[in-house]
Amino acid sequence: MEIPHNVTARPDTGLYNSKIGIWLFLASEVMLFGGLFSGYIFLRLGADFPWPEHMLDVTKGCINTAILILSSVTVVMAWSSLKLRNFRHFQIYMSITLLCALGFCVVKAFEYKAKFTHLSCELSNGLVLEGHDNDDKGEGNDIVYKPSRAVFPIETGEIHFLEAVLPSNEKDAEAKAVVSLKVPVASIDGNKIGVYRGDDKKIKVALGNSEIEMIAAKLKGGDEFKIEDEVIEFTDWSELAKVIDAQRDVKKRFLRAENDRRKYAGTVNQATLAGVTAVPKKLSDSLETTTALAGALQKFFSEELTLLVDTKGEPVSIKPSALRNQDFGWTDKGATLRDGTIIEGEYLQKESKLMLAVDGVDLRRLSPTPGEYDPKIMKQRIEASGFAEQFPTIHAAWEEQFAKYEKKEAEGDHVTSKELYYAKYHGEHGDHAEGHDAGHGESHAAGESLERDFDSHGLPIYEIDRADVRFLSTFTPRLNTYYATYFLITGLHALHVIGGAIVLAYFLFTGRKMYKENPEHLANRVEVGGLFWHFVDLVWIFLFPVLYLL
Amino acid sequence: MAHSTTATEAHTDEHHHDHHDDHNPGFVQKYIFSTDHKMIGIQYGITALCFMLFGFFLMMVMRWSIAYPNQPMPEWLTMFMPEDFLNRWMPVAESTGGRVVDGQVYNMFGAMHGTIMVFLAVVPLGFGAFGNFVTPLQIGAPDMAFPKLNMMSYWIYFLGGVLMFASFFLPTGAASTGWTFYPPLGVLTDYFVGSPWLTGQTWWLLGLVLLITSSLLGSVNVITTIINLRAKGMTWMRMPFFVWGMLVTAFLLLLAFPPLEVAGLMQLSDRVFGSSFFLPTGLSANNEVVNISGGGSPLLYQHLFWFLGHPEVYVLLLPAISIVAEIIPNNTRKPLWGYKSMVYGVLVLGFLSFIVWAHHMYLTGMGSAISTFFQTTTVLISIPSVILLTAMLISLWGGSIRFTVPMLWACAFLPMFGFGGLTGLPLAFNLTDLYLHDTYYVIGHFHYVVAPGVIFGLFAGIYYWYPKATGRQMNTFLGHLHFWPSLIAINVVFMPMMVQGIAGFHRRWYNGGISYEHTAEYLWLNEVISWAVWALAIFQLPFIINFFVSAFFGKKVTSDNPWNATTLEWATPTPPGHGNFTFEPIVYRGPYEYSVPGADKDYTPQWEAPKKDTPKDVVKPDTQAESDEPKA
Amino acid sequence: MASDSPEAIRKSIKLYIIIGAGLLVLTALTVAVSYVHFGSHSMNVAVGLLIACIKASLVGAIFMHLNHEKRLIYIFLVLAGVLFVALMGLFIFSLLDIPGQNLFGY
Repeated sequence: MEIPHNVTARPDTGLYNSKIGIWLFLASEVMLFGGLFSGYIFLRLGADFPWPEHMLDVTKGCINTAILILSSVTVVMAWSSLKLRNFRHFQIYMSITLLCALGFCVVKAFEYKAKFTHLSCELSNGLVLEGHDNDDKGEGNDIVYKPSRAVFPIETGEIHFLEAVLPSNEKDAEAKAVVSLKVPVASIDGNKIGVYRGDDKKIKVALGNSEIEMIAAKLKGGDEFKIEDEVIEFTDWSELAKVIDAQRDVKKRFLRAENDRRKYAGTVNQATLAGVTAVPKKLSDSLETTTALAGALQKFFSEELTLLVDTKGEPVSIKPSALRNQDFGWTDKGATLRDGTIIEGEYLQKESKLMLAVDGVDLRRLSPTPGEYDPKIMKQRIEASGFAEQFPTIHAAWEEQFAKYEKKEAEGDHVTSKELYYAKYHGEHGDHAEGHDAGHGESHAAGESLERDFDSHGLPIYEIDRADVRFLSTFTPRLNTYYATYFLITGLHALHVIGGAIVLAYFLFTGRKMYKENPEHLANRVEVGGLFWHFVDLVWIFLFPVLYLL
Repeated sequence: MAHSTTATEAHTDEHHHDHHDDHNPGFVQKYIFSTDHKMIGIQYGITALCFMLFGFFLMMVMRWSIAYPNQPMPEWLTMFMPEDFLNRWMPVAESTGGRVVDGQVYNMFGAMHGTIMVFLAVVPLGFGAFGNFVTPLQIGAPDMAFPKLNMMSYWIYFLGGVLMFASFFLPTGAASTGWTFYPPLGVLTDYFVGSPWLTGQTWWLLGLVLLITSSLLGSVNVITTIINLRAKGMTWMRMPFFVWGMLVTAFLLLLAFPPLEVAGLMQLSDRVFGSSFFLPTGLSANNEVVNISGGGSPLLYQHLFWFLGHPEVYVLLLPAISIVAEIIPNNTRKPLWGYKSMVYGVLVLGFLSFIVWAHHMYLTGMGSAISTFFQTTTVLISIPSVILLTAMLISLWGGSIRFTVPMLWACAFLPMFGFGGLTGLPLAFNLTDLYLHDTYYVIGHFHYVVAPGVIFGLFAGIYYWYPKATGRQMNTFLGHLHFWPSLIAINVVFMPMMVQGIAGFHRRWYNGGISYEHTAEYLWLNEVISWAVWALAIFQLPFIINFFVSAFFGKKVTSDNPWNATTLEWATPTPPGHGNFTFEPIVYRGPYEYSVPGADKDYTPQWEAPKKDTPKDVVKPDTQAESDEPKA
Repeated sequence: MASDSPEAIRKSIKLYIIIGAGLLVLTALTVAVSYVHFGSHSMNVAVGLLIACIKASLVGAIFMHLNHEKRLIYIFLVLAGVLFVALMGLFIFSLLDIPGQNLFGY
């Protein structure tokens, strides 16, 4: 069976099937990117922060625009070659198109990579510094503690975040960290119930349904059972995870028993209040049993698990994104991780300090209302923030720029808030060493320069106390809705480029056979693939100005 | 040919490029990775019916919790759930000795009931199953325009469904933030966990993206097929109304789904990459400010979601209404009244459905100008809806109606859908909507449209085209046993909801508590509704039995056109083979030429050539086809 | 289909190259005008988008052959276009209509 109009056009519509198909698909794509652009505009119009403008690498964007335009020309030439029945030319043009696609992706990859390593650091006074982490340890933006305890909320039941923080112990080597947990263990008739380490050194979890039923039965029988605390040491985190799972189950059981107890108690109370003197036997029995069970389970259950952490003096470092909140989520006594785990210990201020090689500053967040930047008030705010004293090199660079644009404004030229209050610093090469030889003080008072050194590009390195950082992020979707939109739209667009390139490559490498059988069919396919390719180009034509320029 | 050995099959496969006209595919190719539109339609249909049953079951559990708060579930509900799942989510409580539905489970089931019913059951059944099975037959095409895309469309849908279903067994359980998935709740639920990828919330979003992809492929296919693969003589105005319905539905899917995909991707990014598309500045959860930049807008999500959400209503509705439009003329034995106005009506309806979405958002504090705009368009859209409904009601007038089982369902569809539509009017106006928003009135309204409306229409379609798909009739007695109790039960389910809703019963209440006091006088209705739901469930058993048993033991149809219908699908052999038609179908007339004055029978099929001056013997289409040698 | 004949295609190859070059020039122009101020930011956006629209229509009309396409395709595109405008327009409308909202503030 042959589907009609696969190759030849249907006379009344004048179109073959896949051409209708691709145009319908493109109509759908119009709505997809239309939705993305509409979302962008919605977020931009409603933004409560200074919207980043002209922030991307225009050169790279320009190169990519040119690459896509070139590839659009070559793909249409490839189609024309097929129509003129010149397979050799088709191969050449299609190869150029694919090389363009590759080039586009490479440029994009470089652009993304630059963003992933670039930091934006909002200080608690509203200054926003941009730069690179200049710590030799490589994990310079982590917050570092010497841990003593970890408090684990049972609800989460996953130790993912705790595990990420603790050093991983290797098998058959000396443990780098030991966690110990105090848990109650009951013994009834020689059976142990609870979590304990067996004689074979393996962790035993005996807290399942059958054990709890046993407890309940013993309680009903009026038996006593002895409970002792046991301290279990863990070096294998998967064992710890198992125990935590068991503890979570107990918590659920306890909460239910407790709920039951309250319900029965309520019913008994109501009965008493209503003047029923003889409370039904069954009810009071149930009350007794559940009360006893709730009491017994409470011994096995605590609101949270407290783990004693011993890392042999080694500090642990916590990534900013793993914190529940960067501003309030940690103190000098401990930090709360995203899942609610609290790491307690001694905060190591020196190790936690952010060494930021600063290459830009945004002062607009000093204003509480985005869009209102009265120069007089802004100057006061900048002065009050201690910008000049703490970040002298960057301040000097900004001041120079500000003076230039202030003058321009006085001459009646239009000046944007970005030109006035956002400054990039490209570094001084050469003689900076003696010019800005900054002190290496251990501590500093407010207002003292934080400048410590210069990196190889001549960018000043500032030592920033973590307590002064409100929000720290790389230039990823986390940073703000602009970058989130940027990554989403360009990411989807890049996926379209890759998808389109795969299809075109398929035509190029397998087209010869079809060309020999039915060249028109191949030409149609290339036309359809080319239409998609042009659409991808067309989207970029809008993306480029919207994201890079406006 | 059916008894070819595996050796010859392998042989055929090797020479696949030779374009065998009468190729004999293996089991996998024929039943699983089939590219035949009829098999794909049946695959869609069975999968969707399974999901519908599953979604229905979730709701049965929810109804228990509403009617009997804090009471343990009976055995006949728990027996359908795996033990592990029960122990994890609904463990036996000491006090009651049974399993009680708690808020988390209720939310999970509620969210998944909506999602499954809308995205995995009704749309795939209406558009996927009927659209695939019937459309190419009705326009006289050998298959869909892109058979391989068609297969991909089904399997992507299947994968999305599996993902949604599997999420029930994740540690966090399935998504629990309503089928609308509003942020910030949708983002922040199960947000503070180790791996956001392994949560039901995230799998819901991933599943949604797959389902959107699937329906995109499906809609491109359907539109292209309708435009380019119509048989000779099948002009636009000779197309059966069902095909028009499918065309408009496909356009709705094609153009309305992408913004939802945008919303889904943005929410996915919020959940796993820490962005703030939908999270405003200063957002706090668990009394702590969340570690995000903020600056996003929850309203953006609602706009993007409802831009799909409202056309989606018509995606649900149009297949059903178009099925009914096929069945009514066939069983009244007279043409569809106002065919042309129905066609224009459905086109206008399709277009208007794109610009009414914000009537779901009156409560978000929108300004009066925009609110007026959306009220106006919402009221406008009732005009084409009423045209469709009225045309079909008038079609009944003066007909010699055959009350076959499909006709019963079709007849029930009309008042039920009408009622659903009319109860929507108070929700179209800002003033009344503010009061009724999120009450059981809303639930009652849209369920009247979707359950006794759309699903009755789809049942009609199943009973109507079953003989064509299987070659056997469904049992009429079981059909009646399915229809009458269902009709009564479903009204007992949804009518009291209107009453409760006006009294202020909130749609998210699940187990009593202090909030129930608010509507204390109407609580007894909860039990009525719940028992009606369970009765409804029982009376689906005749259908399930009928559906499977009739496929093997049903009465064989004696003719290719058992209903004496006029449209092209009845010109094919029963069941239609690969390539559908055994002759080249040529269309000579409009789709509903019933009881044409002067004709020798009360229906004149579209494919029957007009009689010449000297009438020959009436040649049956199939015998005529056999006399023609199939083309090489 | 006259436009698909070999002669017509040979002729249009030259056109493709000219349009390609034109697009590159317009790209340079977009970048250049983004550094010029046209009175207000909205004006700049308008100019930038205008050039983008010109570029897009060139790609659409010449490369995608929309200058001589079948009626059906125009119908699809007009439909998608209208709905896109409705989507974006109503989004903006709904933002502007929130009382007390200060937009375009900066």
